[in-house]
Amino acid sequence: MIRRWAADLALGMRLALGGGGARTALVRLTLTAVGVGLGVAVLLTATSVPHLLAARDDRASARFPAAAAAVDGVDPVFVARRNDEFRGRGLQGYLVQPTGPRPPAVPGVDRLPGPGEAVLSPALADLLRSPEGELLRPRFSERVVGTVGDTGLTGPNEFLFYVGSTTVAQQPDAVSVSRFGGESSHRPLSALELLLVVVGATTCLVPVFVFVVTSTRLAAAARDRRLAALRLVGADRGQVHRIAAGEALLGSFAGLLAGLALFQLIRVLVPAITVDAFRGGLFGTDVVPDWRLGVPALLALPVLACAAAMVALRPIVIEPLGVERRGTRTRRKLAWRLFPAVTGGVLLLTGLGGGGADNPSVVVGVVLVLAAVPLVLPWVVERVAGLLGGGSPAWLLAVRRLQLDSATAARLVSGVAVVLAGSIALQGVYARTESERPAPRDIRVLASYYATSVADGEAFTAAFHALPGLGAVPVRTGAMIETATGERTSVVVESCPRLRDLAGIANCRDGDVYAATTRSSFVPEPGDHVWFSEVRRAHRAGFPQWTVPAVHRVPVHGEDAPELLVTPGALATASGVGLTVSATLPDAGPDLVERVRNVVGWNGSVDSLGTGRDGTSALITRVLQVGSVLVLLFVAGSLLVAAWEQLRERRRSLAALAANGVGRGVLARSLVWQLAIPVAVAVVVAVPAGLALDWLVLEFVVHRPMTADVPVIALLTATAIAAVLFVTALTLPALWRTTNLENLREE
Amino acid sequence: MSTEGNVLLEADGVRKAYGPTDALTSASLRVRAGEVVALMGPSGAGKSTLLHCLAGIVRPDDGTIRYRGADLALLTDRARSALRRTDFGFVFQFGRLVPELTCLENVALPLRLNGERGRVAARRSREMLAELGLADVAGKRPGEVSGGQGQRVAVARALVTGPRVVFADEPTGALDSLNGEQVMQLLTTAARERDAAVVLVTHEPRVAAYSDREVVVRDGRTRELEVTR
Repeated sequence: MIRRWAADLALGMRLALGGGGARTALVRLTLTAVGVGLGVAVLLTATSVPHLLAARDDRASARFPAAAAAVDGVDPVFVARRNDEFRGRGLQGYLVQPTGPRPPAVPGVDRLPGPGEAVLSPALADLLRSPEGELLRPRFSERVVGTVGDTGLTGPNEFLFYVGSTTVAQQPDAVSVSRFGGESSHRPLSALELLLVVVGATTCLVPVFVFVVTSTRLAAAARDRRLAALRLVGADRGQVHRIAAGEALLGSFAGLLAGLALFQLIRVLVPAITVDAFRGGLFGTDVVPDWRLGVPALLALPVLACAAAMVALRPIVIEPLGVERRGTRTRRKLAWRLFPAVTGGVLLLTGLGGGGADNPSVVVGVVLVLAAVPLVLPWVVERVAGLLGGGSPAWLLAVRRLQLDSATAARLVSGVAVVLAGSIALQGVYARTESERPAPRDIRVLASYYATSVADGEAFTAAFHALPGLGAVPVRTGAMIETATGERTSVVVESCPRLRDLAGIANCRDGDVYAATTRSSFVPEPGDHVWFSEVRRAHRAGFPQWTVPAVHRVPVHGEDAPELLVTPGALATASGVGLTVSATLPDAGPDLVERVRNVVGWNGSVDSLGTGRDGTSALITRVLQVGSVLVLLFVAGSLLVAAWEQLRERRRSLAALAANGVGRGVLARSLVWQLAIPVAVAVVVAVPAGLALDWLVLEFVVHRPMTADVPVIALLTATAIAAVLFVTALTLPALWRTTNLENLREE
Repeated sequence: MSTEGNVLLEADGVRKAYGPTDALTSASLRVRAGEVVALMGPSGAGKSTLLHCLAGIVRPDDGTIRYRGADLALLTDRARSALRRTDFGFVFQFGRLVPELTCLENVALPLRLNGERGRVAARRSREMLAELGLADVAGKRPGEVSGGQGQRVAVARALVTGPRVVFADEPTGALDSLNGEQVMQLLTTAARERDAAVVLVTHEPRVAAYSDREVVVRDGRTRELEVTR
């Protein structure tokens, strides 16, 4: 029996292959394979995301300087982490100062750089060599002695550096390290990120599912004729089902291979992805599906394709003389079609009330609402078509055709509807979160330089003011000091003229120290020994303290006024000074910011305030937007092929109409109406569904009011409609060929 | 009605209605091994319905059809399918070849469905095509050959399993007269050589002339014509 079954399945596959003379079979096979392939690739990629993020975290934590106890045979190295930027792209790195010839191993680095040396990631080295990197070169004056290998990078395009220095030990944030590699902390997706993934993946996958189902039903009349011919020559009903399953199986298997190939292609192309959140790129080798999810994902689409082919046979009986329907054709039932939408809505409303987007019922609810669109649409299209009456000949032909069979058209446009609904929801959430970011002109850039002496701070101030456009920018020098008992207070170090301006101190002399009488916080007493907080605690024992001189009490107003105002001369006797020189940059262009960074070097930081963005959300949204566009293109392509197949199946009746004097213009307009009516219905269903999802997510998850972005919705809707009209236009040449009277010939 | 000889198929009082329309009211017929029987009559008389009932494709509402003594109505779908694979052959108006398969594969189809190994099925089909002068179309698909050639391939497919009865429903209906003659010549000669009976539906006397016997179907009833060949 197994041999018999195998032979039947093989025959089905052979029929699916068709060949040069059987275009329909090949088209159907190709469409099923493409649909299954896309679905498999999307699912495999989606199931790779957890491993991808975990691998990035692992790579990052593997190079994390662990401030652990001494390790035998390892000479500790002082390490200070530095996060920097160059024209919006992040640079990460470490200042290192080995204390002996046996420093701990760093992933991807053969030898830690010594003083005046640097080890760079390949991308950073390339940037420094390129003309674009000219402005960055002053920050990397060291001799490059090596390249960071892949094991030491989170992504192939990451800008990472290890710079050797003799002064790391004195840096405020330096740590002594005997081992690199910390505990890996995997950050789970936030509720909003998870929801974006769910909405986006559903938006991409539902049209693919719909398409796979549709593709198995393409050219159904030809398939029925073929199966009837097999019945005539002796195939029993079981054999016919196995043969049909074999046909679907080949498409599924081809799709599986196509999906795996596409997934491999994605892995190859992944390093080229450069979005803000992952500018460092992603390693293709990190894109590994979680096989607990991946195996079901691999099987889901092929099984769906076979199941759809079998379900398509359920309402019919293939007999040797043709196909008979079981029972009478009934109108579609709304109840079960509405069930997922209602269930989804209820889950969303109850789930959102009890916790937000990380509640599984919210995720399931979103999926159900989007998945309900292609279920409800055929019912709506059927009812709308049933309500429509006669009109012009073209309209009449279209309406009657839809009344006879609206399922095919409804199925075809339901993919567009899902993309539209999902895109509206996604766009709404994304636009809302984007709109709350400060405008570029409101972003403050704060430059901070850690000075180890008053003279050092003054030298930085001079260099800063020497930069074009920054001569008059106020620079503030300050510090935190603390006593041996841990009491802290803030200090500002300014010249007498500045203190006059700042605090209205009239008879200031260099060497004076003033305390604000208006502040109630701790003020050291004259003779107290204090340390500068910026100086590493471990090093304080080796540094002389600053003995506070006489303190004059003066009234100083202002919320952010410091407790202690110190003239430079007052610190003349202090060493181990740790000051922060800071300035807020005017909006003078990105190049100026880079020049400031060059002046600051590795002894400080230049940060943009107010630009903290949720990078993962941006990445997810970008990927999903691209995915939506690709799916829309795919849906448009499938619409085109399906429309061609429809024309092919109806070529005799169309030729008969043409023979009876029906003009080509009438037939063309009829074709347009046949797609335009379902598309109009699809838009009417999709826009409210998308807006409802948008509202639910914004109102209950993001907790922000919804504002309908009418231009964007109009643009998305117009794109969907344009795609359909464009497809219709492309089918017209096929229509002209179809109406050729030659098609009436039987022999 | 003739009663002599080895009776293969026997229809007795067969009635079949499609909704309110009676296709057959009381049709009776016997088909002996090796004979060619033409079912004649005007359009809508019930010729094709009778042929379909005889072949076990359509279940009659009343009456019996026996094949070698077995009541077809009592056979399961699987048993009737097996009969179509082994004992019956079919040639219909438009060939009903599977467009995705080559002519050779079409001929081999009943053998493959019957569990024959691919190589054996291909060899036997190739021999059959060669015997009917169709060796040169073996690798072509039905869409690539003429209507006449397609019908001859259908004849080859009908005969390849060595059937006892070949059912032919208007086998020349879509062909010009020359091709029609060729197909009829081929069908009847090949069937007679194999001692296979042929039940032929036609409304053309020219085609019916290839038969041993003519049975007229009119208003759902059968009436045997005495003809001399």
